[in-house]
Amino acid sequence: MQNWIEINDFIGQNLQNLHLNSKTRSEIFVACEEIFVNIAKYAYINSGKLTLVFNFDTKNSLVKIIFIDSGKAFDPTAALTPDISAPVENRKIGGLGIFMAKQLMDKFEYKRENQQNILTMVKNLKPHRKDD
Amino acid sequence: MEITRLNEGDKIIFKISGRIDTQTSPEVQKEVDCVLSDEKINLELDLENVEYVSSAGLRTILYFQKKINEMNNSCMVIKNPNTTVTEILEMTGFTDILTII
Repeated sequence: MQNWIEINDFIGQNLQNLHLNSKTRSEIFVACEEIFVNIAKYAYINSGKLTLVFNFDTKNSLVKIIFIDSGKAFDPTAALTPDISAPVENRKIGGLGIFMAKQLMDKFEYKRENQQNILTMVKNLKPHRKDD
Repeated sequence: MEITRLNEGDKIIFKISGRIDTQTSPEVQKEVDCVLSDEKINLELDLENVEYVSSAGLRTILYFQKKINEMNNSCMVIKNPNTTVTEILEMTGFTDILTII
């Protein structure tokens, strides 16, 4: 949990100067949390290293977020979509996080290179407008 | 994240502010769970000041709805989700299993 708090702060600091509307900001936070939690839970048997990279492309008005881990191979782009029409009794949360991250970001690409999982997410930024 | 409980007639309202995510959802679950032991609960989760919910937050909300569904004469409403929370509830099909006002 302490790791998530640090990452959350790191993301917040990175997004601060972008003057995003609250919806875009929130969408980025949620997508990052979902990916982080998935890596934290499943990538490593014990603990492991996670690298998080933020790239700001001001010319094209987008932010690129890259998660790199050396855990077991996992391609989130190939993860099955959970059943989002199941009734309450049968509703499951497993798989929902990755699905949400995919939906909330504009690009979601995976590659496996040098025994590392590299997930790149891109969010197109909108100009600042009044928060809802 | 802050969570405040109010009683309004026979309604129990939880006003939540901040985020309901992997860090904060355990506390939300703990607070609301306290009232879910009696039968006949009229529960309202006021999410007006909630910035967003992650899947961890959805897990907690689902937990409440499942419990409420098993209790006699009980219901839960989700009140005033903002645009982001609404988007998340819609994309995950949670609008079909919750009562949202």
